[in-house]
Amino acid sequence: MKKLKLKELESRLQQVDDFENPKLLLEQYPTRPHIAACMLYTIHNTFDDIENKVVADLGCGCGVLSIGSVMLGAGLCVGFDIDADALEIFSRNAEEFDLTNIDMIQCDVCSLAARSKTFDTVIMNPPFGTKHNKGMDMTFLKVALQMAQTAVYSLHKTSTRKHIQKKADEWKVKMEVIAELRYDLPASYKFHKKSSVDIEVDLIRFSSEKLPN
Amino acid sequence: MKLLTHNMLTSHVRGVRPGGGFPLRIQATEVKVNNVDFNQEFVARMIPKVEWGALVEAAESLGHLSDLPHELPPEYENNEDFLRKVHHVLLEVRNAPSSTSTIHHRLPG
Repeated sequence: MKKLKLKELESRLQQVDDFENPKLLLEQYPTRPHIAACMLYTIHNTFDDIENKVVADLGCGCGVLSIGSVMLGAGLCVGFDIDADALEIFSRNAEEFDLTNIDMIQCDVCSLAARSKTFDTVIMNPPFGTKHNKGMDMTFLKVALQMAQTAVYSLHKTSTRKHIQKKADEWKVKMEVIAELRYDLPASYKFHKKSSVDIEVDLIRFSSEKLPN
Repeated sequence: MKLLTHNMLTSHVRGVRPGGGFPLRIQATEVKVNNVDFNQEFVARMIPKVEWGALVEAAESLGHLSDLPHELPPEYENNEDFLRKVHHVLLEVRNAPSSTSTIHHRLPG
């Protein structure tokens, strides 16, 4: 497969349609093409966890991470989201890009169950769990770890890093912060006073490899 | 839902039947077939991950058994004919009224 450059990936992801009416309760913040491209490019080039792999995308929304994964050669990417409207947009996106190695399932990720470790890789930009759904990010992470054989890649607020490390230790998973990113959050909702705000997020790789002593 | 996805998922709903919530109930209300590029290496790598019996059962219920044998043949890795059939069943056939699927839990009773 032809190697896709980072810039090329980002510019293709810019054509992916986003939420028409973002839902506050579901914390539907779009994953910006720049962030999505950086995230996927690192996962692909540094860890080789996308090409020829079965990838799950939890809380996929309109599918930007799924679509990017398939562009990078995933054997199959399955997007999971509770919101039928978002999946409708995802489905149109997949059709427009003519991508067929893609599947999408409407379900509540919190009650999702897969046979243990059947997916190779899980990627996600989970709800940060800050508004009305405290702890949601960790619930997503727990589900992801149950599904993934090799690794889980997830975005989390940098301010919660210590807490996540504590949970990772508790669950006996290895946690590596592989990138620190600025998440440009456009003012999607009325309560946002500024037109956009940057928050610091970590791209974290979780794996069950044993830590060296 | 593609049959590879179907084979990987299970249901949380308890007390459904011995063996738990696997496989998910599958309905053949509308079966679609899409062309997907054949990737021999990928298909060969998926086979050990798949619950073979459940896959054959699901393919049969959708009317796309596609000559899959009930027992996994030995040394399939280089058997292109066989791998193409498995590719078709895993990735090209799907059971959805639209492009998205909802998980139907197999309810007791």
